[in-house]
Amino acid sequence: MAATVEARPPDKYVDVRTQELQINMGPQHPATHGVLRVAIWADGEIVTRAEPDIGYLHRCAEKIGESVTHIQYVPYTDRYDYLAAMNNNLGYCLAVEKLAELEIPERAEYVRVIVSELNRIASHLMAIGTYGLDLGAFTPFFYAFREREEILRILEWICGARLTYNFIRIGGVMRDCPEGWLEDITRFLDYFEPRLEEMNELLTHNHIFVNRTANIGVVSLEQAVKYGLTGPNLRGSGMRWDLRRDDPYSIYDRFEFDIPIGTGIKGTVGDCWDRYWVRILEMGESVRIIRQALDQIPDGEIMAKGVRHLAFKCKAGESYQAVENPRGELGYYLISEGGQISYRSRIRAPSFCHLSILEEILPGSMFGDAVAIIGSIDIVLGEVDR
Amino acid sequence: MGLYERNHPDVMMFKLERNLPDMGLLRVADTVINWGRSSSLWPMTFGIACCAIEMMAVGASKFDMDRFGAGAFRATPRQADLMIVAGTVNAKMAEVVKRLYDQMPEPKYVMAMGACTVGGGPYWKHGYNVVKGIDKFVPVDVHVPGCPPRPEAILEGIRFLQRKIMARRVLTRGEHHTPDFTGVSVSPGTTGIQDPQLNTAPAVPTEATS
Amino acid sequence: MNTQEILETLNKDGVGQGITLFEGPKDPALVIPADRLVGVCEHLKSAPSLQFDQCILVTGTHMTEIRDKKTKEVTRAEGIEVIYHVRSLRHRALVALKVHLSLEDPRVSSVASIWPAADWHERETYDMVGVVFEGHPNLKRILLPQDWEGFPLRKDYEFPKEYRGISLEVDPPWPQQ
Repeated sequence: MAATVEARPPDKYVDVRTQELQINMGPQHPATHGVLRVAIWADGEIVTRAEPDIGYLHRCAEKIGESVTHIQYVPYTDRYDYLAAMNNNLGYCLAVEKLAELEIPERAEYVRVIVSELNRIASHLMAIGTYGLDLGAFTPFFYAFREREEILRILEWICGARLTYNFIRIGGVMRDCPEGWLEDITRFLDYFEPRLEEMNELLTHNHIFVNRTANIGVVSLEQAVKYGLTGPNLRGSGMRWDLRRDDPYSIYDRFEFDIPIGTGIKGTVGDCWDRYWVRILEMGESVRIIRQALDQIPDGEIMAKGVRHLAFKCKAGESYQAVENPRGELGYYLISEGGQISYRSRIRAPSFCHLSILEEILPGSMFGDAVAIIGSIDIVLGEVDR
Repeated sequence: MGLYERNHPDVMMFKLERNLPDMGLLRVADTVINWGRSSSLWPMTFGIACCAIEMMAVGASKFDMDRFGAGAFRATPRQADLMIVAGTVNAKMAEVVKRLYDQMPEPKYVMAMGACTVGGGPYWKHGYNVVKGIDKFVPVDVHVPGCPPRPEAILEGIRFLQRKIMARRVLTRGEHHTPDFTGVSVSPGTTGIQDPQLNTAPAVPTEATS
Repeated sequence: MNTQEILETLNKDGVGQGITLFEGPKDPALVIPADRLVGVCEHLKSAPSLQFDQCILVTGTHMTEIRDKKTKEVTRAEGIEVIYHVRSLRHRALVALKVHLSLEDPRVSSVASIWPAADWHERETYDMVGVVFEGHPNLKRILLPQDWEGFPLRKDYEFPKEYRGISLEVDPPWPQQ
C-alpha cells in the first residue's frame, strides 16, 4: 500500500546509445485499443520519435451528417464513441435542440442525466479494465466487466440495446422509465460503491501497477492545455476544469459534485497513475450525481411538445455545443440552412486531440512504457477516425 | 435428431462411439480430427470497432467463450484458427485484414461479425471509403448480423462454425464447399508514414509487446 | 466575455483592423481577413485580458453559391470557410473565428505554431476539404490514404468506385439480369 516511486534521473540511460530501430505498432495490436498504428523510432530502449497513423476506422461521419436528416443521424452518433453512446446522443441532441430552440421536459432531462452518468461509469470501468490488461493484469478486467454488465443490463432494460442505444432523442428521450427501473438503479449503486474499494485493492495500490504508471508519461499542465487535452486527461494534469460545472448544459447546475484532479500522490502530477486515479474518483462522483437525480426526478412528460419526428425541421443558424464526455470535451458544430438536413456537421472528438500529444510525450520514455502511456490517455478509435 | 444438434462436435463423438465397428478407418480419423479442430478454435485478438467491445464481453466474465473452446485469444495470426472481423473495414484497413488472413495457418476460418462486415451496415450508402462486406476480399465462413450482435449471437456463430467444421472431409473423398478466392488480390496501400523502410516492411508486426 | 466584448478588446489593443462581427441567428463569430489571421491569433493567445490558450476545433466548410430567388443576385458567393473555435480556460470564454477563402485556391496561414492542437485539425481540414495551410509542419492526409483522390466533404464530391483493387460499391442483393 501507498508505495511511492522516485523520479528516474534523466541522464541514467544516456550511455546505452545504440543503432536507431524502427518499430511498427499496430494496426492489429492487442494494446492499441482498436486500430491505431504508431510508428516508433527507438534508440535502444528509449523512444526517440513517434508518429501515430490513424484513419483505419474512418467511417465518413461528417459526410453522413450532411446526407441524412437530424433524426436519422442520432443512431450514427452512437457508433463514434461506442463506449459512451448515451453521452454522444446527448451532445448531438443538445446541439440540434439549441438550433431548433426546443424546451425539454423536466423528467426527460433527469432521465438523460441518469443514463449519461451510468454510461460514464461503464466507460470508465472499461478504460480501467483494459488498462490493467495492457499492463499485464488480467484479473481486474473480469471484475470491471462484471460491474459493467450490470450497467448494460440496466440500460438494456430501458432502451433494448447493450451498446448502441439511440435512446436520447431530439426533444426528449425515447421512452419513460419502466416500472421498477429507478429502484433498480438505487440497488445497483448500493452494490457498486463498495466495489470501487475492491478495484482499489486489486489495481490502484498494487505495487507492480504503481511502478509501471507512476512518473511515466508525465503531461505537464502547460502541455495539456497546449495540445487541447480535456476531460480526465486535463484534470489528471492538475486543472480543475469540467464542462458540467464550467459551462453547464442540460441540468448539471442543479447537482453537487466534486471535480477530482491529479495531485501526484504516487509520483508526479500528470503521470499515467494520476490519469487513472481521476477516472476512479470520477466514478464515485457520477454515483453522487445519479443519487441526487434519483431523489429529485419529477413526474411528467418525456418528449417536448410539437416535435414531429417524421419531418423535423431545424431553424437556420450555426452553433457549437459541447458536452463532457467520459473522455473529454465532445463538441458538435452544426451549420443549418433550415430544413431537415444539416448543411455541415462537425464533430470535435476528444480522443482525436488526445492522440496528437503522443508525438510530444512518447519521445524520451522507455519503449515498454509506450503501451502504458497509450492506454492511460484512453482513446476510442471510432471517435478518433470518425 | 433436430437440426440444432446435427453435426455438433459432442453429438458426433457420441455417434462415433456408438457406430465405431461399422465405420471405416478414414471416416473415424476424419471425425476425430474435425472434433479436435472444432473444439479448440483459437480466435485472433482483432477488434476494429464497436463489435470488438461485444467480442470482449463474450470473452469476459458473464458470457465466457471458453466454454466452447474458443476463449484463447491469440495476439498473433500465426497461432490463430479463427479471425473474428469485428467492425467496419474501410479501404485503408482492407489490405491489413487481407494480410492478416494470409498470415494465418491452415485450416483457417473467418467470422464476419456485425452488419458492417456483412454488407456495409449503416455505412452502405454514404460511406465513401467503407468496404461493403468483407467477403469481397476474404472468404467468410460465418456471417453474424447485428449492430453490434449480442454476445449470444457470437456464441451461436461459434457453434454454427463448429458444426460446419464437423461436416468437412479431411481424409475421406468427397467435396466440401469452399469458396474460391484465389483470384482476389489486394495490393498494399500507402500509409501516412513516409519512411521507405516502414512502407516496404510488413505493415503488421504481430508480436505482443506488453 | 462574449464575442462583442472580445472584438472591442481587439480594437482597443489596435489589432482589430478589418475584423467584422458575424451575427447569425445563433452563435456569433469574428470574421478575420485571411492575411491577418496569424497576427490576431497570436494576440488572442498572448494578451493578458484574453488568454485564449486552447484551440478546440478547426472546421472547413464548402459554401455553395446562394442566389436570391426573386432578384437572382448572389447573396453568398461560393467559397471555403475555415472556422476556428478557441477557448480561454482562465476567462471561461469560447470564440469562433472565421476566414473566407476562394474555392480555386484555398490558402491560409497555419496556426499550428500558436496552438499545437490545431496541427491535426488542420491536417484533417486539408484531408477533407482541401484547404492548404501554409507553414504547417507536416501537411498531408491524416484519415484517408495518401493516394486518395478528391476531397470528400466538398459538396461536388463523387464517391469512388474502387480503391486499389477493392470494390467500394454495394453488391446487388440478387444477380442482375
